[in-house]
Formats: sequence, structure tokens, C-alpha cells
Amino acid sequence: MTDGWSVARALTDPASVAGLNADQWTRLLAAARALSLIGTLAEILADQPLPDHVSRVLADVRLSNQTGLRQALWEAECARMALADYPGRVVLLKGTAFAAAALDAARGRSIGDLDILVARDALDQVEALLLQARWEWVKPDPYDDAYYRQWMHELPPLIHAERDRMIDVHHTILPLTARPRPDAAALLANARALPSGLYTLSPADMICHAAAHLIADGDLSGGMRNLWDIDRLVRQFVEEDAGFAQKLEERAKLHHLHDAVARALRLAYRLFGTPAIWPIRPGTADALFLRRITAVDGWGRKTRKLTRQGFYIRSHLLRMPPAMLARHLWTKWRKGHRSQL
Amino acid sequence: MRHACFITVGPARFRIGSDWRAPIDQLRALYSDYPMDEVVPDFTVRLQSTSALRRYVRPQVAIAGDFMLPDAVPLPLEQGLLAAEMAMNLQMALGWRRHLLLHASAVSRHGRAVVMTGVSGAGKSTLSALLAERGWRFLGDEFVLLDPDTGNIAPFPRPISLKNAAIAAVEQEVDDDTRFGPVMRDTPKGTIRHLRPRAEWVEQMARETRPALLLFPRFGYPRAVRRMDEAESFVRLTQASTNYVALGDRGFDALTGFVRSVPACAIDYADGEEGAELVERLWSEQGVRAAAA
Amino acid sequence: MAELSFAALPDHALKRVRLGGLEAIYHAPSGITHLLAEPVPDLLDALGTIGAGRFATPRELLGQMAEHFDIQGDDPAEPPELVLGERLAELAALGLVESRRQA
Repeated sequence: MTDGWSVARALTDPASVAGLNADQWTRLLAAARALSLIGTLAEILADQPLPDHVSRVLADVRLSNQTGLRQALWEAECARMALADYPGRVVLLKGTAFAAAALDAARGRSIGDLDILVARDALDQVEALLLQARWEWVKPDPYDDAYYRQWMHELPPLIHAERDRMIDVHHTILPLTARPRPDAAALLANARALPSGLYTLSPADMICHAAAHLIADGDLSGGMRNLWDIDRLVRQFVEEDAGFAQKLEERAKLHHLHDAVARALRLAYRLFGTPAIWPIRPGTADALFLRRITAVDGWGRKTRKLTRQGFYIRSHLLRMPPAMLARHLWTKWRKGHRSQL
Repeated sequence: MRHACFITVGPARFRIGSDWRAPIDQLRALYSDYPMDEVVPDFTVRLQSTSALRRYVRPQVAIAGDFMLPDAVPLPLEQGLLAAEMAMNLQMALGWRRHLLLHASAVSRHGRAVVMTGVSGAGKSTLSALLAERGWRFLGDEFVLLDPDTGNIAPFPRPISLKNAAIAAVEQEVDDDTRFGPVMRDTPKGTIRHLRPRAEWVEQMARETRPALLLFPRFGYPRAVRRMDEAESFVRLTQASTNYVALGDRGFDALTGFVRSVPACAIDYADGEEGAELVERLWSEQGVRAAAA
Repeated sequence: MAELSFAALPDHALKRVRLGGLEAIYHAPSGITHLLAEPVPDLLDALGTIGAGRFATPRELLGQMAEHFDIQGDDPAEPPELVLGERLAELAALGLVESRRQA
């Protein structure tokens, strides 16, 4: 069993760690860290009998989880206060959304920047309000700036002057230049309100977003964590709503993400035994995706470089038509950036 | 990774992997008194080559591990020992949660410790080395570990990283070449040479001690002593701590408790001799005051 | 325009420790530590006396505090409740007190 797969095994079958020796523990923890899943692993194993030292390491991880959670929720609160005068919906995305809605998927999840979704015609106002509340631009380069504004699905990154945390403001969930075109207005319309006045995506849309993020956005470096999100979300939503599978089908079709969602569900099934709420029909390239997603070793290194390169090229192709891709990379090369190819 | 070793320093356990043998050999020599059993580590550090070619041609060591900085500059292989030290520091700074970490050195006598903090180059490393050679117990020169629950200091003694002029000064005090590591020139911080701690300090690593005096030393200025109030100490220590924020309210309690119970002074001194003497005097005076209280 | 009113946070949201002439405040929801000088600790105390979660306008708070303090801005002509309102709004922006608009 490779080190990547051993992380998946430990997460799905926590009792299985009982037989691990010191070397296996060492490798498991390093691999979990590299996959951004150490926080999750620490929560999943919280009730298992563990060797003393492993127990201490994971207790520290759980402390870090708490800090991370607090900071993420506070960042959302600061955004809410800053955007109080914006009348439209502000939808939280990804880890912060899971945390704000107290979903199972939030448990132990490492949360990075704050991601929010607003209507495209609101970008100017939202940008102005955030700048007023002391967020600042991260990338001052005018070419990247123009690229971002014109083609990406988000404002160029903003960072808060004092708190030193980033916010990504999206107006849809995939770049405008990408092939699948999700229905941004529908995402906003179906969003669910939180007590604070912020929103999250509807359950079915959350899965669609996670799947889009995994397949279309990625060099898949966060792949296993993304699939774990999907596993937790699916299990919880199916339990709460008997008709969930059908709703997911409708929304996935609406957003032109049916293939992406199907693939994500298949991969999650293979890795974590996620309930097969859609019929599992094996897809070509699934094995390749799984290899890439589990490509980490017991030292925490990402392995299988050839596959990784293939995925990076692929992710750029997805984002831009080939002619544009050539122009973008050439300009970056000319300015001395290392070419991505 | 082809070459590896395990090192325990104070309460922290490191696993260090390397694409080359030399850094591991040097670590084994420098840390020969330390526990090196194969255990489940707190942190994994990787000294890795930047590319397949550069493993052999003008080899460069990239610092990697559980915790990494995205824009870290690789070091030449001759400075592999420095790379390992920086990597271990980074893991502690970003990942340690069991204690509040202060960027400081510390020595103790009769169970009462002096904590010395300040920016790099202010002299806290050299001062701790000099005092240690005068019979003080050496507790560490990079990090001071403060237990948030008890307020005790957990020793973290590592080979002292001496820089530039300090190397000669300490070589004079320590008349034993086997206690020194290799000389590394042209590092980002100039010339560096490590001084191995005495075996007894390593043996006593697990024994905690109480903080009694906090000093903010400044090397190369006319001799001066100034009491610092609690608020100023607190602010300067939050700046000197890499994990204060990460510790949340435990960090707040630990640090407010610390500044309220440990007297603090800023001291300026012209040379090491003067500095060491100042520290000893202030520590004695504080002891008298504490006993009288 | 509706006026802003302010309330103290529940007890567990703040840890306050006096350090020399200043007060260090740990704000639990954000994990941020603030270092505040007079009269902010007294402002917080006054709101605390009114009761956590019970909103007061700057004018009402002024009444509470005026027994012990002279409140004055840089411009002596400025009404004290305006000055107080500004300080409270700053604290609210940091999350150290709650604020809301009353009709």
C-alpha cells in the first residue's frame, strides 16, 4: 500500500491504525501532512488508543485545528462587517463555508484563505468596500491584473493590511475561459442563509463546486482533501435529504458539471467508500487521477513527477483556449517567469 | 531519502532526511551526545536537491519538511549543517504547540534562569555561550520554551551557532577543538561555527527550571541598564515569539503571567566580558530581592 | 440616520490583564491581542456595568461615565458624546464591543 493510500485507509477505517509500528506511523503522519489531511486525521483518530508520542503529536494538531477554525470564522465575520452596506448576497465557499454551517466536512479541515462568491455586477462595489476596510492588493503587476479581471473568475487577490489574511472574491466558480460554464446566477439564487446574514451554496451546489474545483481547476495538488470534502458532504446530505441524489443530478446538469461530478463521486468511492448515490460506471483516466491524487511518500514528498507535469499542462488547457495559452505563457516567459510547461 | 537520522532536542524529536551523506555525517558528529533513537518524530525535515542534475553539479540544499517557506533560498552543500539547523528552527517556529516559543537564549543557576532576547546579532547567543563556560547551565540559544500551564522553562539546548567575531571570542574561552563543528564561510550570515554543548547539559535536557530574570541585551554600546515595565516587555516578547498567535488564549496567559512575575531590564554592553559580568550582577541582585520579598 | 448603540460582549469573549499603565486584552472570537490605554478599559467597564448584550447609546454611556471622567476630544468645541461615539465605533470595528443601529 503506498503512503497516499495508507492515509485514505486510516481515515476510512480508524481502527486499522492499531497495528502500526513506529516507522509506519512516521510515514503516515508525514504523508497526511503533505496531503493537507493531518488535521482531519487527528480528529478521526481522537478516540482511538494511540502510542503516547503519536497521541501528543495529534493533540498538537487538534490545537492548531482550533486556531485555524477561529481565524477562518473571524475572517468571515470581518468580511461580513466590511460588506454590511452591500445589499446583495455574499456566499461563503469551501472550508470557511463548511465551518460556518457546522458541517461534518469542517471537522479538522485546514482552512486557508477566505473565498466568497458575489454577483458579477457587484464586483466594483465589493472591491471598493473591501479596500475601504483596509484590504490591499497582493499582485501589483498590470499584466496579471488585466488577465485576472478579464478572464479569471475572481478579483485579483486581496490581503488585509493588519490581519495579513487573504480574501478571494469570486463571481463564478470556474474561470470564464474554461470549458464548463456553471450558472453563477443560479448558484447565488439557490444559496442558503446563515444566521449571521452570510450565505453558503446549497448542498447540491456545494458538491458541484467541490467537483469543479477538483477536476477542472487542478493540478490536483489538493486532490485527496477535496475528495474527502466530497465524501463527508455526500454522506451528510444524503442522510438529511432522501431526494439528494436527484437534486444533485439536476444541478450538475444545469452547471454543465455532470461529468466532473460523476468522476468526483467515482474517485471518492474508490478512495473512501463514499456511498454510490449515482451508479458507478468506471471512467477512463480514473486510474491516472487516483495515482496522481495518492502520489505522496512517507517523507511527505509529492512523487511521480511525470504524472504531475501532465496534470499541470492539462489544467492550463482547461482554463484557456490554446491560442490564449500560448500568449499567456509567452508573456510570462518574456518577463522572466519560469515557464509552466 | 537516501540518508537519514533522528535527533531529540529537549522535548522535540526530529527526523532528518538528506539526498547527500555529508550533512547527516556532520549532524551525527555534532549531536553525538543526544538521543538518536528511531522514534515517531514531531517533525520531519528534508535536505533535498533542487534538481536531479544539481544533486551532483554544484550541489545545492533546498530546505523542506513538514513546514516550509515558499521562497526559501537553497544553500550550497558545504553549508548543509546550517541548512539542517534552519530547517529544524523552521519546524519549531511554525509547528510547535506544547510551549510558548521565545526567540531567546537562556542559562540558569540554582534553578533560576536568565532569559535573554533580542534581534539577531544583539548578542544573546554569544552571551549565553560565555556564561555557560563560566559554570551556568546552558538551556538554549535559539528558542526558550515556556510551559503555558506551569510557567517553567523546558530546556532546548542545541549546538550554539557562533557568528563571525564571536567565533574567535569563544574559541579563546573553550580550549577544546573537539567541541566545535566545521567552519562554514560565506553563509548568508557570514562565517559560522557551531559549539557543541557539554554532555551534562544534554543529559539534563528533560529537567525544567524557573525563569527569574528577563534581559534585552545590546552588544557594542556603552554599558547601561534600564528597567523595563510590563507593557513594554509584553509587546517586545510578542514580537519575539513565533507561535504566540497560534497558541491563542494559552499564549496570552503564558506571556502575561511571565511578564508580571519576571523582572525585566534592557542592558547595553561593550564586549562579552562586560556583558557576562552585568548579567551575573543583575541575577544576584534579583535573587536577593526575591529572597527578601 | 439611525443612531449607533453599543453593548459589552459576554464575559467569556474577553480576557483582560493589566500590564503597567496599559491593559492587554485577548479577544477570543478572533484570537487577536489588543493593547489599550486609558480610558478604553474604563469604557469597557462602563458597558460591562450596564450589562453584556444590553445596548446603550453614547449619550447614555456618557451619563454612566461622567461621574468619574471628563470626556473631551482634540477639539474642545466637539460634544463629548461624539468623541465617545467615535471611540466606541473603533472598538466595534475591532469586535471588542457589539454595535447596532437603532431606529
